[in-house]
Amino acid sequence: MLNDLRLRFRSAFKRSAVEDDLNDELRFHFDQQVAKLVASGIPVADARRRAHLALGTHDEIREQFRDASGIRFLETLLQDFRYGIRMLLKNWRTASIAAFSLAVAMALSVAALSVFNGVMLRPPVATAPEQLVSIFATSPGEEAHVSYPDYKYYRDHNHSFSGVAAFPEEISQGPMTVGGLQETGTIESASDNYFEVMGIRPLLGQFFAPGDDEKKTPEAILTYSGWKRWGADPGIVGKTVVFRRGRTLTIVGVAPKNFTGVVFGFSADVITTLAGNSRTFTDRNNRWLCLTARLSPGITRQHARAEMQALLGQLAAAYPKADKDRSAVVTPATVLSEDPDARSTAELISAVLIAIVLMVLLIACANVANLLLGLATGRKQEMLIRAALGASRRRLMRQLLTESATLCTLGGIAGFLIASATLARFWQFSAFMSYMGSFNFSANFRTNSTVLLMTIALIFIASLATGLTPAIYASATDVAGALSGEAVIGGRRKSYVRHALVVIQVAVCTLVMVGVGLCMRSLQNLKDVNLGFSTRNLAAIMIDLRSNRLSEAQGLNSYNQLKQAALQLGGVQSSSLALELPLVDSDWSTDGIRVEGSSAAQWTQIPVNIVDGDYFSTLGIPLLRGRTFDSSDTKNAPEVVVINHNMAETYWPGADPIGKQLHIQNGTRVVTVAGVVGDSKYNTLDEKVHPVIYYALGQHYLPQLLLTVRTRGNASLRLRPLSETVEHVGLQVDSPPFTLHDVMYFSLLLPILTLRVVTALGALALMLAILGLYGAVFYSVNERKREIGIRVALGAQPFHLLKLFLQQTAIISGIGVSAGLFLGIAATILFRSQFYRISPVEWQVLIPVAVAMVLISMAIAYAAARRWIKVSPMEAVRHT
Amino acid sequence: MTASRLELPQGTLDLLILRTLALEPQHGWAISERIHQISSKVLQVQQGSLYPALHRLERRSWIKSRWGASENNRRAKYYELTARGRRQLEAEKTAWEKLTAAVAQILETG
Repeated sequence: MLNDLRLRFRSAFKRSAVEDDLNDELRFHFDQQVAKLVASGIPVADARRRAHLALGTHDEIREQFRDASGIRFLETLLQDFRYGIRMLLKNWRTASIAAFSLAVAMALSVAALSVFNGVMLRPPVATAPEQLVSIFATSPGEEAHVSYPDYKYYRDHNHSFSGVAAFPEEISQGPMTVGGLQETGTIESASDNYFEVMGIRPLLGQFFAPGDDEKKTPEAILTYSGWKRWGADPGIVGKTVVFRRGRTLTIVGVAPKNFTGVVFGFSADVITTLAGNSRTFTDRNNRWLCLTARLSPGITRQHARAEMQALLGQLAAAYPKADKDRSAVVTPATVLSEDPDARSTAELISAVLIAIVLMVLLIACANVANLLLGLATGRKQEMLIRAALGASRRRLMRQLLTESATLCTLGGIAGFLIASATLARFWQFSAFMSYMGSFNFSANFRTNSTVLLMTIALIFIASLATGLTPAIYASATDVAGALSGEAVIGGRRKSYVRHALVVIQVAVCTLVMVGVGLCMRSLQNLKDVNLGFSTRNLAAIMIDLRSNRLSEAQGLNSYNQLKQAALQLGGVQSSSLALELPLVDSDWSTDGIRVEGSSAAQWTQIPVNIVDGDYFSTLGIPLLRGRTFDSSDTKNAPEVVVINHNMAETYWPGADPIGKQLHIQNGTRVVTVAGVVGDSKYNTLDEKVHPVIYYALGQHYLPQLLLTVRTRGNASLRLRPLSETVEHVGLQVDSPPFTLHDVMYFSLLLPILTLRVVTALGALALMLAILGLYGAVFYSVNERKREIGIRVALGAQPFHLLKLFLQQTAIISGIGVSAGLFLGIAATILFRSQFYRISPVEWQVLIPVAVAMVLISMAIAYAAARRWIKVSPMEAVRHT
Repeated sequence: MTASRLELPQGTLDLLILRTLALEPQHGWAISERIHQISSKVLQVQQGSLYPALHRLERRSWIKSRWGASENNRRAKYYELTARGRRQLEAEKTAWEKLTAAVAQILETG
């Protein structure tokens, strides 16, 4: 096969050399033959003549030789290619529109495929990543992460893995100083064996040693970007990095360039051991670790899963409270360390993205097909002449397919280059996230060989999709018809093909528009959600007293001072302290509760918040019954709680809950309900209403709280005074203050980004479809010029002609729009769970989209046909 | 039967060339001469089919070629059998023998 190709290429490209060879060979044969004849006594001249006669002419042999050696195939391919380029250059206007729309659509497709590749297919940065697996201990309705003591048990008792590493999917940010230079950096942590398990070698120094996770003085590793930030000092190993409050870590090594951090998507500066994390190392209920492990040689994933399940069983037997009813899941490791559910969401999102992008590509392909079909009409004559001269149909089709393939390849190459350049440029970027500060993101979405292969497949599909129809149409030559002078003009069949292409375009465009509408509607539904509190003019800041080493009484005293100081600020109406604010944290801690009088089995986990008495009035949460907390609710007074309306309805339906009692935490505490407040959103905008308990701050002192103030007028103007007040009271400000509007915006970030992306894609799809529709109508009017002339001559008014074309367009776009709406409804039903409050048939989306699409098509038909309608009959007839 | 005008059935030329080359490397003219002689002048390979066939066999890597000096010291292109060509020859020979045996059987009984 290789030999075959080599000889073919040699034959095709070095034709003269090969033919010289052949000539020499034939000349030798001829001379031998003559010599033989001469030897048998025939005169030389006669011998030459006879040899000639016997052997045939050299040209004839050469022809046969070329057919046999397969030069013919490559030769015609090159010929077709050259001819194709000439044709495209001749029609450069049409060709460049086609190539441009293809390039844009291809660039989008390549980008979408790269993102998909980067998130779903690309292995994590590691040696032999195929041996790496992620381990989860799943339990219905809970996160599948692992607690530290459980992790240690797995790590030390398994026989399936050469190593089990753990890391929390967390990043934190703060000022840090290396060599006197202070920068805001990003910190991540990982278990001491992380780099060993991943097989990453240090660039400088060394990585952590076993046991470092539990060492009192944790060490740090700089990532490559962190190292660069602090001046790329080659002697950095052994120096220190100083965090806030003087916490000092020794730098033991620098990670190589391709390692950007432990948590996917973020660019870290410093990696600490797990000891650098403030989480618990003893509580089995606190699941905060993701596990990545390397399979020992010869161990399969199934085997490893079985062993993990067995280890989990041992843990469940020893610690039933924490580890009962969990099952082990072992999946191939990807960059996403999320649990399997999150992975399937990511899969779904990327699949939808790719689907939309491919639809845009489909529209672009239909455009190109239509443009080529238009070119093909002009070339009918040429095809007829070629056919009359003996070109086979296959040969003609191949010529036309070569042209579309050339166009698609050009578009594909341009698209790939654009996408590669863009992705390579923006793979690391900084973004400011309102209340969390500025973060460096880094995700490897760069194109690689996988993406290249997928792109080549796309080019191939696009070539066939754009070229096949025009090729079949144009090559269907009817020589007899041509001679009678008829077949040159249009023909019904082609107009059907063209109309079908437009129908597809309109349908796909409608579908994409429906998608845009659904995103908009879902976002609007989220914005319209009744929050249960008011985000207007609320600002908050995190207060941390832990470094001040205050007693509880002193702490409460500081809190009071702080609240008073905040109230003194101009424009502040009220202030409050609380553990949690709505929508700031996606996960509140819970307490097990049981209602007095119900059976002992009904322990339910309910989210709790710890607040002071001003919390509800500051946030605008209405008090429905009873009272909120006041200064009498201290450690010495009987413990009281405030519950939300939903909790009252759930546990005391129809009764007054005030004064009723609750058992908390296995009955160690009994509390009395003092008040009922309105329901609100707590963790996310799209959550269902659920019970919530509020404890009194006076009875549950915490050294770390959020100070919230309600201001008159724009809260963002009060952010700086707020942090100054905190500093004035003698407390340190660790993280910047933020407004609740920022929080709202962040909650809506994903749907807003989705809407933006989908809208951009939708605009592109619409633009390409308009281009296609315009071209189709223009050609179809152009084709009927003679008919128009005759109609005008017979007395047709412009109005009649307009009606004629508008009717035709109305039918075509009507079919397309209806098909698109049906697809849209199907898509809505399929993806409804990804949207917020979207019904299967969302008329408020479907009707505007349908009306807009029909109106747009009519406008385009009018624009395209207008020129011909005003034409005088003489001109129209003469033009044909 | 006239000596020079027997048409070769499709596919047999390849077999004959491979068989001829199995003895020693040859140039094109010598191949056609040898087939002519060994077949007692019954088979005459036309130049027009010989050279395309040689190139076809070369593309399939059954034979390979190199330029060498002929008996009368001229530059000539020599063809020789490759290992794959030798296997192909065996396969085609077996197939041919089966075919001729079968055809002969039919002719005799018919």
